[in-house]
Amino acid sequence: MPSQSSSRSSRRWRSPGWFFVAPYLVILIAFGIAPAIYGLYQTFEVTSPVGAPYLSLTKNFADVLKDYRLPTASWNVVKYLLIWLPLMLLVVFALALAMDAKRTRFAAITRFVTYVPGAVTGSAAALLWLFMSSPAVSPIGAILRHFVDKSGSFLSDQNFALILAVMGTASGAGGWIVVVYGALVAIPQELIESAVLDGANAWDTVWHIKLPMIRSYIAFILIVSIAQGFQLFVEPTVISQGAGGQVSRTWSINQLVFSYATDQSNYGRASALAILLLVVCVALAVFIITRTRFYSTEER
Amino acid sequence: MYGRIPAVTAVAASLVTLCFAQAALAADKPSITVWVDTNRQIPAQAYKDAHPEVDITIDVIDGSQGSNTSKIALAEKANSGIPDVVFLGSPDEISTLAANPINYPVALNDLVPKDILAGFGTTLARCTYDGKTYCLGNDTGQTVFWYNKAQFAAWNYAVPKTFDEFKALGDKLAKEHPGYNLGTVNGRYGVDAFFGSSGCPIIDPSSPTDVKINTTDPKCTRVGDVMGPMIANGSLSTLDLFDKNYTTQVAAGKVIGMIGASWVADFAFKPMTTDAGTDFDAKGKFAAAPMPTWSGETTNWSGAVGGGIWAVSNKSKNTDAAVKFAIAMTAAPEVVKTQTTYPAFGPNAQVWLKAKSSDPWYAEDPGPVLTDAAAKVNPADGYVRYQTQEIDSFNQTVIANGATDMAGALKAWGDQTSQAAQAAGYDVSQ
Repeated sequence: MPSQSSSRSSRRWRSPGWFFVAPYLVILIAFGIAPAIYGLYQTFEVTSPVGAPYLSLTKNFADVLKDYRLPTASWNVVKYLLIWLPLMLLVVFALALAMDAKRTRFAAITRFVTYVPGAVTGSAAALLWLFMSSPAVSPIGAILRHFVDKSGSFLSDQNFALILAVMGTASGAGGWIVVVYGALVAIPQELIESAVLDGANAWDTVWHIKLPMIRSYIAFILIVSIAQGFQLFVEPTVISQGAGGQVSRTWSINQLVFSYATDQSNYGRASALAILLLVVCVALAVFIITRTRFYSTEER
Repeated sequence: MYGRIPAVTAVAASLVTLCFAQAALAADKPSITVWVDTNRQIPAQAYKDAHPEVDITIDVIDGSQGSNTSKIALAEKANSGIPDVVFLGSPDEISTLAANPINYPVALNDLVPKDILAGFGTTLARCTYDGKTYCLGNDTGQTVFWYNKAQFAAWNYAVPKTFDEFKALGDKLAKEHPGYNLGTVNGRYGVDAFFGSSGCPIIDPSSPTDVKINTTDPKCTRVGDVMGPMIANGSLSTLDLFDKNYTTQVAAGKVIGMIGASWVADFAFKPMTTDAGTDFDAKGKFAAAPMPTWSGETTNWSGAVGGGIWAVSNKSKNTDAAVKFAIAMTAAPEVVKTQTTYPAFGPNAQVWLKAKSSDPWYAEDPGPVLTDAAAKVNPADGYVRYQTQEIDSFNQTVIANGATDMAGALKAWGDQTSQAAQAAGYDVSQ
């Protein structure tokens, strides 16, 4: 906050803004900022199973970075993001643009139907998909049986990223379709009409007017989804517990964080990896924000 | 407005006094909190009913691998809500609980009478560090060869006496009856029953900070030589025993045998084949055969899959009541009635087996075989702090690639486990 004269700042303290922000601020400090600071402190505390704990700036980071599970988990998450993000963006924009082009009752129903899977919480959806991908009980078991190994297992570390990506799209796309559709509706109709008068067809309006107008939504979806994707945890955890041993317990990076904290009671390493994860997510968000000029208000 | 404050203070003060009064009343009675899994809830409740002089809070908690450790670790960190007694369904967790930063269990050597400790035989060796014993055994998961005796007779199959014969039987089964199998080797079923019985040095600690890991040891490669080809021809499954895809195979009678723990018959085969909707009735068909012998061995060593233990907190305010409870759960004569698995306490095991001998579900009394195997659990394996990672790594290496490249998979498993062991504070030797 820029420095203020004392009378102005005291007026600020009494302004209704603080009144509205206060409840959130309490929660933010208690459950957001304070744990984060404590987590940051933990990052430097090294616990060894024998001997006293000690502080070190780099030990936990070094231990985490040379863990044999980290490269695999990172590659799994990257693979997942590479399949999931394009797939979801494609589904979201294709459906939202189609609904916007033909604003019929059918489109409204479609919008609702695509939203429904998103209402199922992550863990329940994971259980649902576990059953979907278990050949013995799946409604599409007859198809899956062509792809199973000798033991009759369909799930594996290899195809797990794909399954999660399809699952993530099914449950996540609906919400974004509603958001993007809302953004498309907000585009001034005159713009489209004048483009059509200038001879633009439906594709031209999509490419040259609608998509550029909602560019910041793409960035927003990407930022939120990348952060979400890197923190992938509930779905692989539920599925790997349900289908014991078919998928690693530390398939994703966040599961590795969890493993440090629970299996090994090593909060220092867990915090260190969580901080590294945060750095990556923030770096990617900054990259996307600058590349898409997310906050720029020009050209709008 | 200010006038209300004295009234509020008075109410608060009387509430505080009331609380203290209640606390004083409760202080006459020792109170303990115990954490048990669903199976141990029944004996715990029975003890609570029989002992009104102790105030016992029974918390039923999720007993899956690692969950007790993480919950206790948090309680120790907060220094609040630490259970006085805990049941560990994954006994290796005691190694983590006994180390920094948790330091949960109390040494029981001087708290439990010597004759009771002696009744557990060698089963307590695994949770004894530097001469201090940190657990009482609940049950033993010694492995035997469970097999469908009726099916073996119908197909004229002989019970394998060695693992070479076991492998030959697998080849025969895969050729003559594809789709049938001789059990699963996923996760701990493969690690503890096969590598454990062979004495493969992978979870072989000599102290809380020293461990031997060498998966190129002949005691490991001989297991790979049997397991690899059998995974490849499908006579050993790689699914988890409780995976829906596997339980349907058990329910259909496709699993004609398994090298598995003492509890596999009662807790897996029996319920899986008696559920409604199964066309295969296993009643009177399954029997226990002695473990096959690994090539080069003279003893048919057994492995140990699971086998729960009890531990007592070193911060308990009522250590005496807590220890009494732990003894009652493991060594009291009356607990046998509610024990569902092979008791680790020797005298109880004999009583328990007597009841089992007349169970019509078995083709024959499994007692003698189980008793023999309980005394032959290979002593090489111990409880280590990296067991979760070791088993996960096993699935990513041997289970995933063992059918095509067992040597490479074993090496990868050893390398990953060594790293996990070092990360858990062990000095690894070969």
